[in-house]
Amino acid sequence: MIVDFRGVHKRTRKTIRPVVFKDLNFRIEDGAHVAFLGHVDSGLDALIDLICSADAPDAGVVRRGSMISWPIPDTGFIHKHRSIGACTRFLAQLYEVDPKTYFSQVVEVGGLQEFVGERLDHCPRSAVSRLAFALGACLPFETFILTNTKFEGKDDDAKFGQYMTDVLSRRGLLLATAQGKAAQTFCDSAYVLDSGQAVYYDDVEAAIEHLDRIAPKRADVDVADLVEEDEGRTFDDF
Amino acid sequence: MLSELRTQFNIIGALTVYDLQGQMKKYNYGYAWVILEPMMFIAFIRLARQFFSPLAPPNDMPPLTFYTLGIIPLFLYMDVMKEVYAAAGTSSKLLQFPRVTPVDVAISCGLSSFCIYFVLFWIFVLPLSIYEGAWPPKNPLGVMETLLALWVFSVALGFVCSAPFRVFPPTSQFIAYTNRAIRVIAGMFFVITMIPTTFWPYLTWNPLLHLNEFMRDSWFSSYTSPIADAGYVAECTLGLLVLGLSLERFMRRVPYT
Repeated sequence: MIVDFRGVHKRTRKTIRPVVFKDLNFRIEDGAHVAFLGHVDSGLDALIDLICSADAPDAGVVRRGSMISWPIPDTGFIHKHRSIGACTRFLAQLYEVDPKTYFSQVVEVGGLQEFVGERLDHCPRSAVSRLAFALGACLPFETFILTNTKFEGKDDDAKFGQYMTDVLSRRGLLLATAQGKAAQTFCDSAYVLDSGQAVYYDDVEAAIEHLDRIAPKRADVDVADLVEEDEGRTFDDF
Repeated sequence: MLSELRTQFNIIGALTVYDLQGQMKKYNYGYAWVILEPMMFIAFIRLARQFFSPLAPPNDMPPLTFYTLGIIPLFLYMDVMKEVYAAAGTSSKLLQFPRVTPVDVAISCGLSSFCIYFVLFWIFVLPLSIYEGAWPPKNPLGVMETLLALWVFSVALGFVCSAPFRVFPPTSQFIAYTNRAIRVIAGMFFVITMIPTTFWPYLTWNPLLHLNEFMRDSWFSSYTSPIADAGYVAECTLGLLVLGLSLERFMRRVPYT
């Protein structure tokens, strides 16, 4: 089992439009490739925090089983004034792997040879992005949590993209995204986050259709908000 | 069991180094403030002593070493405690690593703070005590034990404060004000023999005063503290540690505000 949600309630905080998850119940088994599809304000971040144990639910229980990664390619934990070496040493000690081997693997997989010893804030964004993926890909996780799949597509990153695709095909995957195409490429099933519910689909295409149907609804809500704001302003002017 | 313990130490070690590397990166002058702040404090109290003779240390204790032994450990206490309650009471990016818990983050923040102030302590005390002829300390082991006891006490109190801070962040203001008051009555610039005995029962409830007394007792051969009580400090620390860790465990069920 990767993760098991039992009667989970959660209200997102620090967002303009809070999402309230009510009574979430699902269980994801080892080795599964599952997508969580949702738009920006659908509460995807809150759900990922619950899966990683970075936050607690308001009610209910979240149980975690296999060795899962952090949300890749998140770079929030990386000290930008440090080098690739400092970054790999930190993770090597945290995950108890040999620092030298891990460093060489990350540099090789990410194609980062020319940036060794360089401060990360002096490296191009593409290199930092490759580093963020490689840091996770070179650790022995049973399941990856991905929030982005931008390693695929670019010609110069083709080798790296192929490596990531191979790694993902051999391990479990939880993909949190608003991109239906990425879910279609990497996942067998999907949950669509809609109005605080996680709707399960064993057919990813059907899940994407559901996701597309949410977009007009969100647009309506945006328009309604604008009208309310306008009305409010008119009233204030009087 | 042993391998789990080793893993725990590895995690705390990695997070401590990570925290030290990130400390004050937002300031161009790096660690300068850590050195400047106590330096200004010591200079201020040394100057104040020129005008207020009751501040003069008794028993021929040299003044600069005397004040430094009082000030830096209290800075250590305040910083460690603040780091621990802030780390345990707020959401951190590091918690997205599933094997990292709030206790790990809090302990490592406290540990990195201890490292900084431990080094700072010797940077200040070593030359000053040599200059004033107060070197070597009477009981070096006692000095080290006092610093370690101070760290454990600060971590324990930090965990206790993390619970109210997590549900009501403005608590930090209250803690800061209380700490300032406690700092003054904790023997920063006096030893208990400078205070009339009628006030002793009111002052000796404070475990920090006991620790400061231990520090001066361990350093100066001319001073023996009449009140320093290791048992009392140990009881307070143990009580706070049990309470703090229990509260932290309970608060893990509470979402971050």
